[in-house]
Amino acid sequence: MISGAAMTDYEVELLSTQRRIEEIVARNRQDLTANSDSESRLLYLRFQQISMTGEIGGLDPLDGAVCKAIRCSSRPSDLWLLRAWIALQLHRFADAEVFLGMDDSLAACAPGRLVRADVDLQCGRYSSARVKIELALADEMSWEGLARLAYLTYVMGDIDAADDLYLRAENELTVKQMRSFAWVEARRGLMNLARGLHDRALEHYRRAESAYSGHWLVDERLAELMGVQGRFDEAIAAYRRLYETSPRPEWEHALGDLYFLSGELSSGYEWKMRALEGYLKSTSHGQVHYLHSLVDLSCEMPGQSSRATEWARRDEELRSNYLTQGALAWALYRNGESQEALEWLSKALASGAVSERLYLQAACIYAGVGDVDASAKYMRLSRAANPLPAKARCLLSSHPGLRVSHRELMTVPFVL
Amino acid sequence: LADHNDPNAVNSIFSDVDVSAADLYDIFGFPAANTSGGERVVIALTFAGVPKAGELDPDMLYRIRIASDRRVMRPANEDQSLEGLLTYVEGIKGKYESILKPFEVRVTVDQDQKAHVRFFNFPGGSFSQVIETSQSTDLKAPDGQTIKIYVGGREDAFFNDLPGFFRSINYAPQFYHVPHTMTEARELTIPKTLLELEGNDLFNYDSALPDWGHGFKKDLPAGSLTWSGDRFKKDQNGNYRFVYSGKDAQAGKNINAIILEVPLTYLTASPDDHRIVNAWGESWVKKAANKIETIPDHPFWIEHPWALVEQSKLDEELKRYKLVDTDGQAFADAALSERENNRQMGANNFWLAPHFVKRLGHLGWGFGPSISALGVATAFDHDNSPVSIYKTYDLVAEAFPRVKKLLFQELNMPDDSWNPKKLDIPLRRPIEIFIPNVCSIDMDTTGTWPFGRRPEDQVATRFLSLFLDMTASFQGVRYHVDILNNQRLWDALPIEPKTPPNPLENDTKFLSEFPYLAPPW
Repeated sequence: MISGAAMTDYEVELLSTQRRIEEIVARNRQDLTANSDSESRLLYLRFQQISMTGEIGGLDPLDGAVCKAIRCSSRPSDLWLLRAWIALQLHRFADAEVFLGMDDSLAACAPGRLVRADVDLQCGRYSSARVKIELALADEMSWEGLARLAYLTYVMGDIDAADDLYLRAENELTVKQMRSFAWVEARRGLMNLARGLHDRALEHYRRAESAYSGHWLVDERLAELMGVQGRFDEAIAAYRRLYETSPRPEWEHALGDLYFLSGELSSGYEWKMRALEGYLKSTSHGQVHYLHSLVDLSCEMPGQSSRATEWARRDEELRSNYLTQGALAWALYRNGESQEALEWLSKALASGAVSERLYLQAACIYAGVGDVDASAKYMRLSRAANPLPAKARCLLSSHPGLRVSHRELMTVPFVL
Repeated sequence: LADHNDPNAVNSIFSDVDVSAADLYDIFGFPAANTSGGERVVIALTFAGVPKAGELDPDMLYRIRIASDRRVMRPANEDQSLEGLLTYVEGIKGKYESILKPFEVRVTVDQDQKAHVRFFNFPGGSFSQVIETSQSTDLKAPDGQTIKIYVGGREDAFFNDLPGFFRSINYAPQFYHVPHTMTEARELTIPKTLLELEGNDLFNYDSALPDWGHGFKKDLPAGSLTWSGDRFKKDQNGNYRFVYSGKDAQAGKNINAIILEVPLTYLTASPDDHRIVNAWGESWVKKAANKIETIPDHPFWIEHPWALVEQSKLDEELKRYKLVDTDGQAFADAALSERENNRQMGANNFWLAPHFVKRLGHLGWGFGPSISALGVATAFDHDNSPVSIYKTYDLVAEAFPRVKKLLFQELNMPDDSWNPKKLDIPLRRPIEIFIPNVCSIDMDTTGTWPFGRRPEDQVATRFLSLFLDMTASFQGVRYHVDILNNQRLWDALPIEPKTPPNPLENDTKFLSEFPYLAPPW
């Protein structure tokens, strides 16, 4: 039993959420007139609990409970929204769109508009996403709307404007919303990390940690940053601590990467195989939220390039955005299908997204097909977006004399 | 969880529905009766008893803003056109912040429940003091005068039939569990009315469910949320059914309050000239970024000075807080601004004037015909409609002719007791009462509403009197702001129940001296 004084903010909120759930359950048991409001509140609390812990396995059963509650509700619009949120988390974007269309209220209210924008964003409909976010903000200035606009702005390459929007989002948050504040800080940190601004990233992560202690989300970001900075032992220790509290395949994957990069190849392979097993278990249950991770992992592992292409096609079919298009291009390229890789790469680049990862993929693919000028151009863009990508940095720093050619660069496994 | 931006994971549409310490309830203001030591003004700001009555939230900051002024005498040839209205609004634009430059009392409470009270820029001097909560304290101002203050729990001084009011405007959340995403299902598109509408099953009183709307809520039914009838409901005796019950929905409830009794000469250097004390309250909650100020290079202010533009008028402390609620005039929020967050403007609500006119027009089409149906005269021009009508306006010019009389009519007082010195003080009019949104205390009156607000004023019923034609009479007495409190009126009307809309008195006696509001239950 953790004493009150020793508990982190995360633990306190988790406990409080659990108590609120128990209170409502107890009340509903006693009160035969239990109503749709208390049922909706209970289901939202359960969603919140799952979101806080990141235990995504709880979402499918929760979705079943929401579905059942919808059948008993005379006005289920809140519940349809919750189903859309769950579907979004599980990368079931088509389902999310269907659920959002189940009640007219969701077309006009700010939360409905914002979730529609999330779907648009995942499906590569960036202009449409922006319109919806701006409409929601016109209705009601909210940190959630501003954070979404910030992310979209960041994707399109304007990091300063994105940061200003994140600041505005923070300015809407009060001390009653410290977890949300920490989340925004973590996003700001991640944005800076993706641009190679490690010190700024760390500053934001520290602020997130200070605002809301004990959250794995922030610990994960800090562990990632350590890895990016080549502090492998610390990063491995941090990820192992996370893994002990919650064994997730994405953390097995991260540990695999870190062991590999630190030269412990057999450990790296072992962790990656565990991750692969976890991802495959998920897909065998019909889940699709790990497809992008499967693509990344399969591209890195020998003999998996054909499977990687399969996973990448499936993910792209679910959400055709610059990331999935780029990932498919990369998987095809790794599988020796350069012409089709170029087609998907063109689509990804046409999105307008500014992504070091995408540019690096482009540099490698163009190099692979002999278009040296295009390769050089995208290598420059990649360096401009992020002067030194994570794993390339690690590889180079561990081999100071290494001169990396375009051809060699294509063998660099990178997952940002 | 996923490789995408996902604020949903840290948000819940239910996160904002708990009762908040930022929810301001009322502001009272009146001259103290005892003037033996000089004139003193009483101002009381009440708000939700959260965490509980007698315990205040340390994350909150409350401001009581005070601006003294001359009493404005209206010119004989006043322009009562729409242009005149807009000119009036233009005249007060910026007046409060730029010309009157309000002084303020700022109150926060620390973790030990000590109240930190600060008085800024008053003619009697600025000072601060830390006091105990839930007890009356005498503060010594720099000019030597004594200011009485109380910060803590009291009995809720608001006594009214809130469910009745919400029934009159068909406000669904009082009666139903309305999904948060159904933002269109707050005030339903059913005519506002003081009399039940025939077939309005969504809101008409149900004798089988006496608690409905008084804590008990139904699930919002499927199907249409409108009304398609064409008449008021009548019983077998031909009586209309009143939407009000006259019962006190706030009985037995406690609140938190900041109560002041301040010498007028502390507030103004011209007490003989400045006979009006305008007051309004604000609640602010600490911003999240403020909690981690131990990290020195907070980029919000250092890296992004542009962000200061919006907040350039705030001092360093207020920059760390977010304005949540304002309160000046009773019913200004609930009835006229619809409690929308972006309309929390306090004294600066002048820009809401067009909305105010359109909203009055909307309310008038509901209340006006129901008043007429009873045989009572209304100031609203509803073309003799036999039943309430749901009508909204896009254009202020279209609404204005309907509400012109209502806006500019003087609100008669029941007798002369409000004006004990028998001075030439003009009766107040709705346009002056609601814009700006302040409690405007006339120090030469008793401070009864609308010349301030005394705890014993039945303001909910007085608000309804705005819709009456103040040139009409009942039994030889001209309509006045308390006419709807007159039992004889109801006895004479074809209505059931025959009761004033709201209780005539609070459920407990107010005190005759500081802190005036009754102790908590």
